[in-house]
Amino acid sequence: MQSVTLAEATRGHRWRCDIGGRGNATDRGSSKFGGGTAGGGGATLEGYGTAERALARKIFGKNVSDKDIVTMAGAGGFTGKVTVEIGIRDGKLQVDIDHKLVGKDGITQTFYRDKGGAKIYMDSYFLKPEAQGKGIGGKSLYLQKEAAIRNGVKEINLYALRDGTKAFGHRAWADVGFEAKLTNTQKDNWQRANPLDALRGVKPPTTVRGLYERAGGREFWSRHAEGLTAMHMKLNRGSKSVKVLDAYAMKKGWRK
Amino acid sequence: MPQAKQTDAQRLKELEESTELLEKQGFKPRRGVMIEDDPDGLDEFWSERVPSSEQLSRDGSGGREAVHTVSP
Repeated sequence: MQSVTLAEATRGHRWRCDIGGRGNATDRGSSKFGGGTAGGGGATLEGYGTAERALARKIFGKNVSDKDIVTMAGAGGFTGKVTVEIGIRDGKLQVDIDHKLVGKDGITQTFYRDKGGAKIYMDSYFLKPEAQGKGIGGKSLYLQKEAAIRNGVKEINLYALRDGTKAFGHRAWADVGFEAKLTNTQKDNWQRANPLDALRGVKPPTTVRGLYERAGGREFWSRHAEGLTAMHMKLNRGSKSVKVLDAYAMKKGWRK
Repeated sequence: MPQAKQTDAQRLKELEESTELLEKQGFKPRRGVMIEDDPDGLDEFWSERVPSSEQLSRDGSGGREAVHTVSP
């Protein structure tokens, strides 16, 4: 898979919702609501008009509330004023969060449907440095996952980046439950690092979640992940990804 | 009727399909999702669940023992 540097990864435009397929000014909704979804500070959802609602029904197979759109956009962990813009791009719903703590490359997600059902693709998730390490991303992801399950979403997908310097999305997303298949090279490297396993009849792990169940597996992933890894969070009952994220949310007090 | 437990082979097949479908959708991985700082508490969260190689080395086991301590 192609590897990208941090500079390459952060280059380019931030998608805004000035895109084709949108309704006119009279049918493009804008709603405000306070309360729990975005930390009680009040969220504004812009652009959720007739066409967007119809596409949401097509993707999710049901009407989706404004609150759930905001939460599935990944805005649930923010406090204070947050604005979520939604629009249609290439037959998919694209949502974009605006908040004072969002980094310059933004937080953008895409809601879409393929033969596997309704899915969310996390295009970018950038927080400002002063907002990192405070649980905003983790809480947003947990609440996003809960809303996604409520609305029948089958999985959340992303590409995790590792560039060898300070970008370690590969570990962060694996830490909160995302899953990926290990490459043959990674399995070979694991076997070389754990030669006694073969003698004991212990097979190498085949997935990131399997790797994380082994002692030293998390560190191994940190060192051996490729530059860019497609990662998935399956939302079906019994999903290992969901179990990890729920356990983390429990520890953080987001889940009772 | 309870759903049959998914096998590792089924999980792998589903993962492969998910990645293939993601690529077919045309999502471009050029802008990877990244985090520049260690999210709060994840080191502690994981150290409580599965020992690191460093922890096992301190215990004298060399960090090679396969353990399965992740609780459901």
